[in-house]
Amino acid sequence: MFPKNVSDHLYQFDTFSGFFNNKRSSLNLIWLSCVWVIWLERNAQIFHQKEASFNQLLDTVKLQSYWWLKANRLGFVFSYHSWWLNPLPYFGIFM
Amino acid sequence: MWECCDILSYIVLQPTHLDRWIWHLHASNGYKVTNAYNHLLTSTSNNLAITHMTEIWNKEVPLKISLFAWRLLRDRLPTTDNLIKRHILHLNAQLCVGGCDMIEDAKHLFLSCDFVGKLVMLFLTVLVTT
Repeated sequence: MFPKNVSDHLYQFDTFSGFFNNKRSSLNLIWLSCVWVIWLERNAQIFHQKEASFNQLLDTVKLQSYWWLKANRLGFVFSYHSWWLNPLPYFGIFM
Repeated sequence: MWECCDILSYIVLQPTHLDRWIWHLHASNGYKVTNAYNHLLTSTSNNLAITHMTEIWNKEVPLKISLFAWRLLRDRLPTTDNLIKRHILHLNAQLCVGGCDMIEDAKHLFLSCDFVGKLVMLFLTVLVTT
């Protein structure tokens, strides 16, 4: 279902993994990373006439969320390479 | 001048009573932080947004990101539509940077814009398929 507004979207995204707190907080972190990257991209386009591709933005989100987790989550010892290939298992999410 | 006199004419001084503060929410019980807190939570029209508010204060992200998300959920970011509302930009500047001929507001920019907004929506899909 397409969310009505931004806060509904946050809620849907966060509860995608069920209601377990640690996974929820990780998806929450991805969501925050996405909106931040979108905002910076919007500003770059308006004020610096720079444009990034979708894949570049996606890479930024991946790199940024890795940095945040590595800096702030105890016991987060994964290498960036394996994170890059498939981040979801590190959140305890298996498809 | 006369207005002031009018206002004062309604006031009856009671020399036998001591002055005291009155907290209108609970006149009999007096001021309590709990009351003020609950009042602030319930008086806001958008209660749905309030329930999501706790989720943006994620300890694993830098504080500036949480503050940014807080402004986003309250629709207080300087998006083009908000800048027009505050008379900072003119009406003819309202289109989104993506060139999609839509007004740039928070919902459009972050959710529905083909150019950047679908990033959040697409992100999980891409994660699952990689």
